Amino acid sequence: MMETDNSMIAKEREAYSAFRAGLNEAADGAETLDALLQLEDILYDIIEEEFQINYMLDQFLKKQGEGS
Amino acid sequence: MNIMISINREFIPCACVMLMSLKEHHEDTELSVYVLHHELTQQDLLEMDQVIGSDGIALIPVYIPEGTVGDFRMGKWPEEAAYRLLATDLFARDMDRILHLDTDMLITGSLLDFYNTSFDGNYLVACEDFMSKEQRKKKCRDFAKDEDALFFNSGVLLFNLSKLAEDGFYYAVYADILQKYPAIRIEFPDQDMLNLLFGGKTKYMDRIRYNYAPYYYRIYDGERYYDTREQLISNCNVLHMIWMSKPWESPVRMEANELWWEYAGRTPYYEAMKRRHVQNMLEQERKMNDMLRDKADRITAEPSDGQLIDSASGAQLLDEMCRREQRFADMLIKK
Repeated sequence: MMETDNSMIAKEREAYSAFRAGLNEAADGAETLDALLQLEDILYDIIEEEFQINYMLDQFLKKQGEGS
Repeated sequence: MNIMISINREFIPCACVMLMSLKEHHEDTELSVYVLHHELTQQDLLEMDQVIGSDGIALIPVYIPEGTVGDFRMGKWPEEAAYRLLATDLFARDMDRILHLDTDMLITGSLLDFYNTSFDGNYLVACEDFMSKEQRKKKCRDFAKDEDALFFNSGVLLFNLSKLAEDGFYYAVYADILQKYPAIRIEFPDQDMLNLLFGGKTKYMDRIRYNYAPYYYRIYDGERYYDTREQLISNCNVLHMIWMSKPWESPVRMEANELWWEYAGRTPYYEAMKRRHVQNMLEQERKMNDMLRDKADRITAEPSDGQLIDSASGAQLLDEMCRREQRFADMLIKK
């Protein structure tokens, strides 16, 4: 068993905020076709990885549910 | 070759992409494309004509007054989805066959063999639908059919107009059946009705060749999932971008979509479609992230014993999310 402190959660929240701000900025700034295509490319990568994270979270929650 | 498509204004760009690819693979064939619609303007039709080019292909607008197929206007489907049920009413007097094509498709080979095939006494020619065995059994049970019956997809559909007219299968019959049997759940307005009536009276063609849905095979049948251009072009004559795989909506990279975008790049709609795609992806990313945060919150929720995360793997997960988010932010800054 391992107890994780609030700093880890805070760190993750901070990273998420930076990512969200970056994405909003990129979306607002994608005025040319070239910028749009670059953003599309990055979004493909991000979403693909989010599918993986989602799978990992599901697996964890499943195990957690079985353990409780 | 007589072709029918059904569109509203929103689908003009993807119809043009499909028709450009159709034309490219039938250079020596006269194509008469009947465009069923209820809202296109003269300007829209002129623009489509200019985009596709007039050599060897004629666009023939067929205006359908709004509400004509009102009985079949259900759920998320626009009424244009049911226009194919008007095939006998509209065309049986002038021709003996017509091929309906959905517009979320890319034509990658000849359709002449499909179009000219003998009906062998059947009302329709089509390909098996994309659904799991369980879904198919449920459909067949709902329609009181043999559980092992094949269910066809109505995206590529050749109508035997002579036989349909001879036996009286006009729109009024479909509407009448719908009224008499409201218990029949019409999930896909046109497709379910046609399967209900013609499930055992349809000639089946190879669905890999004539109605290949890349996303279906990616999810359900990896062995037959083609993700190289060479495989797609040599094995398939029609790519059908079903479900969430429509190129302007899909968050997933697929070679079939890249091929579609190449055709789209030759239309004046390209940048607008790309903008729409990015907006769709941003929306999907937001939804996906909301879901991830919800799950992460469940992991970090403080249980009664005071521990925030009660296992090493939970902490690792949080760390993983953190690292990826930092990397995403870096990618965006570099852009």
